[in-house]
Amino acid sequence: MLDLLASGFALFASVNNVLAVVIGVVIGVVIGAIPGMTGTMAVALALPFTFYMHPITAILLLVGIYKGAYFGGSIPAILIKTPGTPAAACTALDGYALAQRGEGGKALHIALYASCIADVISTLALIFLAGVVASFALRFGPPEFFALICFALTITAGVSGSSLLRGLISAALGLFLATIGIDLVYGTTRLTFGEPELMSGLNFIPVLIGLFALPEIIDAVARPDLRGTGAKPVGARRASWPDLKRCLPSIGRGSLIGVVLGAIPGIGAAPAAFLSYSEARRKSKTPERFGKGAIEGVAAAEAGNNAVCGATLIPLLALGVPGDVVTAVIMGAFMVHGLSPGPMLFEQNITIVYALFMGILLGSAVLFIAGRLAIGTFSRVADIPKAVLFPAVLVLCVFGTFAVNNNMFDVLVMLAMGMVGYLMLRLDIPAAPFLIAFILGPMFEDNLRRSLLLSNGSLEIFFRSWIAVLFLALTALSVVAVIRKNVRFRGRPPIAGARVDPESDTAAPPR
Amino acid sequence: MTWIGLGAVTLRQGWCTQAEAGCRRGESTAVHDARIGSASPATVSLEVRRTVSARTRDLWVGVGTAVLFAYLLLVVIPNQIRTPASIANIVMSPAFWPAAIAVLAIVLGLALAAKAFITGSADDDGESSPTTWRSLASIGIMIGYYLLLEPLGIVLASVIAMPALSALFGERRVVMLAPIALLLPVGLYFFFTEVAHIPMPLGPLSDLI
Repeated sequence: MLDLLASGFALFASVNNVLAVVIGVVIGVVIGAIPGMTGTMAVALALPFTFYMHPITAILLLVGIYKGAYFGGSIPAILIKTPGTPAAACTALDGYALAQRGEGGKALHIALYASCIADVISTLALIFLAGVVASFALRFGPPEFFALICFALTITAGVSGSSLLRGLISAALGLFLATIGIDLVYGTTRLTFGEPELMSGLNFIPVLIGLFALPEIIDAVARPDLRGTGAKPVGARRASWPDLKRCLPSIGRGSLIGVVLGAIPGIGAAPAAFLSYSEARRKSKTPERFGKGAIEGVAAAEAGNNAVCGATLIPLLALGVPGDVVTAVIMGAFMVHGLSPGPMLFEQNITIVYALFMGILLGSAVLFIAGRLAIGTFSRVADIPKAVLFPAVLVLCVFGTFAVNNNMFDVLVMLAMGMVGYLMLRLDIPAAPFLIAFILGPMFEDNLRRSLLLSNGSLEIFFRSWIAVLFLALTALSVVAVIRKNVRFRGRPPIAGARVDPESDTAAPPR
Repeated sequence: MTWIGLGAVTLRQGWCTQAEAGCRRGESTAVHDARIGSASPATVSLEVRRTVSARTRDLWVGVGTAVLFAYLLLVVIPNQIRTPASIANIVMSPAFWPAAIAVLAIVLGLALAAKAFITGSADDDGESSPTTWRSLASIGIMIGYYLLLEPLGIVLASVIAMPALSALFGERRVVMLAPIALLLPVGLYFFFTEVAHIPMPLGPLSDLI
């Protein structure tokens, strides 16, 4: 064990890796802080730049961006009420109210402390649990994986949109597109329309970039410009020790919620932030202050969404099943370097895993420093004009997509997916289930057919082991729960605490 | 532990996701409600119309999904997937899985349409409506960009496409745009070719270097 740790450290301890973590976190914080830019977009755009790097350096850079972007999103959420990421929407509820009272600095510092504490807890959970889950998953065969992927797909579709049906439709589109290419069992071509470029299927990175970056560009162009939204000043007040002490229980609860929800593949950060926020409100002695500038609300929301970061890497590393879009991108980075995450990674490349853990832990410390600096310099980031930013993003998309395989066809795929993505945005169909389904689709089909090959076509194989039965039962349970939820709570306000003072903001800019 | 948490999540996620949809557009549902209350009559009718259009939108999305996948199921799959003649179990056929997805999607689409038809859609996220011609124009620029990539090379095409898109945003200050539009594509070109060793098409510029 110790010598493995030592060799993991030796693998990690290089200038490049440390630099990757630092640069990643800084890029993440900056991009997360720009209104209209999301962490997913940042990670997607950064991926092509990491191909030439050592796998550990590449993955640490991406994980750094992931972490940084979650905190970065809280800055515009608090100062201009335009959450950079959906997960930061809860932060805006109390954070903006505080900023209006001139206490933006206090809110930002608490958000940073909560993010860093949650991040450390989450990383520790990753370090201690991933190995256990992986050794458990060694016993998984095709039926167990099939059941697990079933579960992950349902959760993703149910959580990431405003309705289960639209989420499922999005997932079905992703599943269907993933079937293009050579059939895995018989080797016949499927849906290629005689196009040789389609033989190996649609490449993941053009689909990803097209789906998550282009629609944002088109959307930014299509909306009337609302520049000069006026960020509230940070203010001189910082968070004091009593402030932090008051928030610690909320941070602790939020971290726990984030870790648990993050570890379930498919849920992601936004529900964790919302659940953590509503728990903090429920447990509070003065729940009426929530939404009007309760510092605990900021702490709870930020702890909830940052605690998801490390925990989502548990199913990715230990099972090879990405839990959200960002981990799907990180999985793509593993694949590009010829590594496949999953139980076998722990068996064969445990030193790589340890090296990653060390880098991720370092990331928490870097986040603290980068966050302190970002709070001071935010106003300059927010002033980057959209007219320069988004055209630059378009150029990055084209260069990055082309660089993947040196292939013009990939650029075409990216553009086509961008239009599909924009259509989905306009029709309010969530894009995340599409991408997760696109990634999980081939795994789903492969495990289904391999199970049936093993059992000679009998469905009974899925009920032979308790693990598969458990996941299938959970799938059924979550479908029922989501349907009941959709029916019963129709028309209710989203969260009771989400009511913002009507006078507080009359012209909320779209992002 | 993980699985115990699940019940709580699924029970609450209805709230989460609705609020999320609103907040993605930068305005919470509460703000949206408040605006209806204080706005002029004209704005109110606009809000009402949007709720109605959310319902018709769901109706069309549902019907559209069903029609699209019916076409895929009945026309595209039989023509584009070759199935080996001797397959013992239908599930093992290469066409089975795509067909299963298509059937599922048709059911989902019809369910969405039926739900919108019967109940109306409850979740209107109240976003400011984007201008269609501007989005079409930006898509046009992207297509033009793609078409220029081969003949002009990636650097020149980018140098043209970037300011074109900036202009669509309403930015006319050449002094500000020109340096960025030149430096970014050139910088990226040298990063990919020199640092990452990935060749990039240069078009006519390759004669100069």
